[in-house]
Amino acid sequence: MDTTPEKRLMKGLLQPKVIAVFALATISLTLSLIFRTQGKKNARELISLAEQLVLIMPAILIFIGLFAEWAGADFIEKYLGDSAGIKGLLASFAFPLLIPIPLFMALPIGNIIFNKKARLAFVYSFFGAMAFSIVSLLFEAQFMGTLWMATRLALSVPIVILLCFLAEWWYNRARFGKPIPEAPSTAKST
Amino acid sequence: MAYIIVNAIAGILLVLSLIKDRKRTVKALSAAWQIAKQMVPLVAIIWLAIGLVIGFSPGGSLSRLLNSDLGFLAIPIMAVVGSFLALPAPVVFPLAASMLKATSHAGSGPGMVGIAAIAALVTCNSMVSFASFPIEIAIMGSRSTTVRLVSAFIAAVTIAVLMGVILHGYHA
Repeated sequence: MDTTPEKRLMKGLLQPKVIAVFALATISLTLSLIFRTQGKKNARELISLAEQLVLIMPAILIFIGLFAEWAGADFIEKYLGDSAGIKGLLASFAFPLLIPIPLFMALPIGNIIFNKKARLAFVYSFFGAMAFSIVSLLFEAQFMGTLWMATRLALSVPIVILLCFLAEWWYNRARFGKPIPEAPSTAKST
Repeated sequence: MAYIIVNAIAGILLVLSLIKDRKRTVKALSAAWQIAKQMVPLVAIIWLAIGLVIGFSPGGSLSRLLNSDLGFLAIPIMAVVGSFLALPAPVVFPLAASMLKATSHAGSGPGMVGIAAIAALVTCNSMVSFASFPIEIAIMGSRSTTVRLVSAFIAAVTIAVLMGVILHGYHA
């Protein structure tokens, strides 16, 4: 608690499992470099992935911070609350459709909107909709063909919606594990 | 290019927020910093895990797996592999397309199981993303994480099987 963020970061990075993953990744990359011509390509892919993460992380974090501070609970409750109905589904689908970010970067936004009284089913449909952002649909149409893309989209939308409500029902009855924690900014002020 | 635009928009919004209310902007940034502290080590782990997977070159071995007569077992295997991979769209679709080509025999396209297995890889990869579960537990709690991962897995496999039924014989 009273240690500096840097110390906590180091502590987090020095856990045995982190070192194990790091070691395995290094070994596998080295082996692929030695035994396969693909090795260089793999290393390049990994570096470009890191570049993408580093370049997009600050922007996403600023978005999340500003969103947490400025998006009022009333606004969230109106569009994503219990009484939002079909509007809630549309709103939760619109964001991921327009802004393609990896799921793990959407998780903090999910936590924030849940803590601002969004309905859990809409939080799940927000996560679910990450699977069909416009950018990934374009990639899919290009490589797999339009028919494949259209079929997957047509099947995904109803099934994802159905499962979101089932997941919400299950969450409300489940007794295992820890419930959804408070958002970082509100947790600090109390 | 896209990153420049995204960062520029973030910068503009930040300036607007600063003009409107300095205190709230500082609060917003401190919230962002707290999320960053939580996420950066975990993102590093995920990056390394993806490195591990790419290092083992899944393309060739996955296609080989599909061609060795596994029967219906290919679907759950691909679903589990897809759930663990968490590959970005520019990586996963070329991979799936190459598998589609590898499994198509001359004349007839891949069968129901082949299509369903490839679809399972794609859907589980984009919907389940088991690789990010340490982040999800930290941010959404373990109960929600379990509920979401299990439901997403069921949904992804259902979609994949239906795609196999609808699209069997499909050529990319």
